[in-house]
Amino acid sequence: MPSRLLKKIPWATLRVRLTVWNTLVVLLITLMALLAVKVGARAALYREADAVLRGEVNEVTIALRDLYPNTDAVVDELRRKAVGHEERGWFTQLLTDDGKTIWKSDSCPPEVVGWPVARDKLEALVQVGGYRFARQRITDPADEPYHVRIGMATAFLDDDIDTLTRLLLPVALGLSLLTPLVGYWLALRATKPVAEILRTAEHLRPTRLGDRLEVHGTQDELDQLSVTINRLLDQVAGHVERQQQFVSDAAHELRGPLAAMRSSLEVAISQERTADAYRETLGEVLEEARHLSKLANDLLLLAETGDDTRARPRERLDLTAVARQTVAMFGGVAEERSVGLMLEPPNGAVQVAGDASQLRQVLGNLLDNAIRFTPDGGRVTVSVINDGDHHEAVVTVVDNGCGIEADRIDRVFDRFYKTDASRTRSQVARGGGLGLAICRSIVERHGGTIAVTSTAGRGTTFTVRLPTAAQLA
Amino acid sequence: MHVSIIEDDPVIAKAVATAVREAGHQCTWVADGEAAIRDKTLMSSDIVVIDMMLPKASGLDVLRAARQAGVRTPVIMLTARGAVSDKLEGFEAGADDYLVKPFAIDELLARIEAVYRRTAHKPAMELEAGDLHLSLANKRLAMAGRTIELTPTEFSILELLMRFQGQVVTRKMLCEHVWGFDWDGPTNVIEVHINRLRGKLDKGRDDSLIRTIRGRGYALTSA
Repeated sequence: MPSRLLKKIPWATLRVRLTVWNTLVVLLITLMALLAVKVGARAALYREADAVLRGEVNEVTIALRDLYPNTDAVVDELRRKAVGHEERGWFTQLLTDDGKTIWKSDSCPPEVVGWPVARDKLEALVQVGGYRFARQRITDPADEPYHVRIGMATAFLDDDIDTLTRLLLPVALGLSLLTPLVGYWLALRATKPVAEILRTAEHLRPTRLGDRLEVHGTQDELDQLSVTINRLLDQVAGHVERQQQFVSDAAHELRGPLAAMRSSLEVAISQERTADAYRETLGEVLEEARHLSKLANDLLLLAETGDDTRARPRERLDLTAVARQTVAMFGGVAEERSVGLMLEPPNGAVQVAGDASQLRQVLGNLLDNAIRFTPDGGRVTVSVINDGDHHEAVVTVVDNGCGIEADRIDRVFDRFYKTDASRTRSQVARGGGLGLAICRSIVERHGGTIAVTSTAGRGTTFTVRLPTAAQLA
Repeated sequence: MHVSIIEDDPVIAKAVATAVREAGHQCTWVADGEAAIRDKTLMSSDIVVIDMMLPKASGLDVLRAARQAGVRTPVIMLTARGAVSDKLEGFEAGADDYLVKPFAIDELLARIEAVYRRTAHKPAMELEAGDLHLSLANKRLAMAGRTIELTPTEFSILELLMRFQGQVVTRKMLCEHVWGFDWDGPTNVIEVHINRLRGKLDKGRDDSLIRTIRGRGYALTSA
C-alpha cells in the first residue's frame, strides 16, 4: 500500500522535488538544533552544579576554621546540607588526612566513600561513576588536615536534560511533519505560474498561433520566461505568416503564365488553323514557359540562399572584378539607351569570401533595375570601396532615375513586390518581382547588409556591405 | 553521330530524340539506369545524355559503372537540381557537361555538338559561313573579302553563331560565351549587340543573316 502511494507521487515534478529538499533541510536543521540545545543545557547545568558544590565546600571550610576544634558542629553543618538537599541526591563526607572517614551522610555512595584522598591538591572536582563531588583539603589552623567532600548524583542533572529533550521533541516532530505540508504549499504557489505556462503551452497549435501566455507584470523570472516565449511565438507566427503569404504569392505568380498558356493552347486546338497561326501560338506558349522557368529558378535560388542549414559559400574573390564583368555585360544596353553607365575606378582589389555567381546575380539585379528605371540620357554609377575601418566591402549603385516614393521604399526588398507600373518607363521589361528579394537573401547569406535610399524624381542609391575576406579569415 | 538518352520522363525523351534526329543524328532512348548498364549503352554511342534521377539505378551509378569499365564516351548530365554540390558530384563521376532542368532543347543540342567536337577534334581556328570568314587567331572578320570592324563582344557573339551555324543559339549560351556567366534577368543584354552586328553584316542584304527565334534565341542562316 505505501509503495503504491509512493508510486503515485509525481517525483519528477518541480513542486515535489522542492518539497523533499525543503523537508530534508528543515529536518537536518531541527536535529542539529536539538543536539545543540542538549549539549549546551548539559554544559550549563554541570557548570551551575559545580559552582554550587564549590561554594558549599568553601562554606564548610570556613566553618571548620571558625569552629575549630569543635568538629561536631562541622558534622552538624554537613548533615544539614546532606539532608536539606536529599531530594537532589546530595551527600557529604568528612575525612582525616590518612583517608579515614570521620563522618559521612547516609546518602554517601560507597564508591565515593572508598575513593582515596588526594593530599596534593587543595581543592578539586571529581567525577566518580554517576556521582560528582567537590573536595577540599583543609590544613589550618592546627596543622591537622581534614578532607571535606560535598557531592551529588548526576542522574538528577541528566533527568533535567531528558525532561528538556522530552519537551523539545514534540516541537521538532511537529516541525518535521509540518514542513512537507507547508513546503508543498509554498512550492505549489511558487510553481503555479509554471503550471499555467505548461497548461497554455499544451494548447498551442501550429494552426492557432494567436495564443499567448499570460504576463502578470510581476517582473519575476517566470514572468520573463512568459515574455520570452511570447516573443518567440510572435516571431514564429510572423515567419509562418510570411511563408504562407510567400506561397500564396508564388502560386499567384505561377498562375498568370499558366493561364496564358492554357488559353492560348485551348484556342489553338479548338479548330483547324494555318501553320503560321500554330507557330505563333507555340511561340507565345514558349515565351510563357520561359517566364515560368525563370520564376521557378528564382524561387529555388531564394529557397537555397534562405536556408540557414546550408554551408556558407567561401570562395575568395575580387569584388571589383565581379563589378567590372557585370558593368561590361550591361554596357551595351546602357549605351543603346544613352544611359551613362560608369564603374568608378577602384583603388585595388576588394577581396570577399563568397559565391561568385550569386554575387554577380546581386550586382546584375541592381544594375538591371537601375538601367530599367532610369530615363534615356540618365546616369548609373557603380563603385566598389574597401571600408577598412569596418572591414567591409561597400558596393553602391547610384542612379538618377525616377526614384522610389518614401511610402514604398521599405517594401522594395519584399518578395513579389513591384513598384507601381505607371511610375516606371512605359517600355520596362517584365520583371519577376523577386530580384531585390534575391539580392537581400544572397547578401545576408554572405553575412552582409543591403540598404536603399531614394528621393522621388531624383534617383535611388543601393548600398551593399559585405565583410571583407581578411575579416572572415 | 549516335546520341543516346537515358531518361525516364517520356515527354522529355521524345522531345530530345526528335530534336536530335532532326539535327541529322541517330538517337536511342533508354528508360532506366539498370537497362543502360545492362545494354552497355555508353559503349555503343558517340555521346550520351543521362538524367540524374532515374528509376532502379541512378544516372550517377550508370556513369560511374561505365567510367570504371574504362568507357570514355562523352556524357552530358541532366538534373532538376542546380546546387553547386550536385554539379560537382556529376563532374567527379566523370560527366563532361551539365544541364539543369528546365533547359532549352537548343541548348542541349548545342552542348551535344560542343562536347562531341571538344572530345573528338580540336576547335577550328578559322570559321566560314556563307561569305563570312572569321579568323580567331587574328580576331578578324572578312565579309566577301572585305574586313569588317567588330567590338570584342560582337566578335565573340558572331564566333558562337558561326560555330553553330544553322542552329539556334540561346541567350544563355551567348551570355556564358561572351561574359563567362549567365544573365537571365528582365533586361535582354544580348539583343543590343545582335542589332549592332546586324547593322554591320546586313548592308545590301534583303534578309538579316542573324534570325531571332522567338522564345529560343538566335540563329545564323546557313545559306
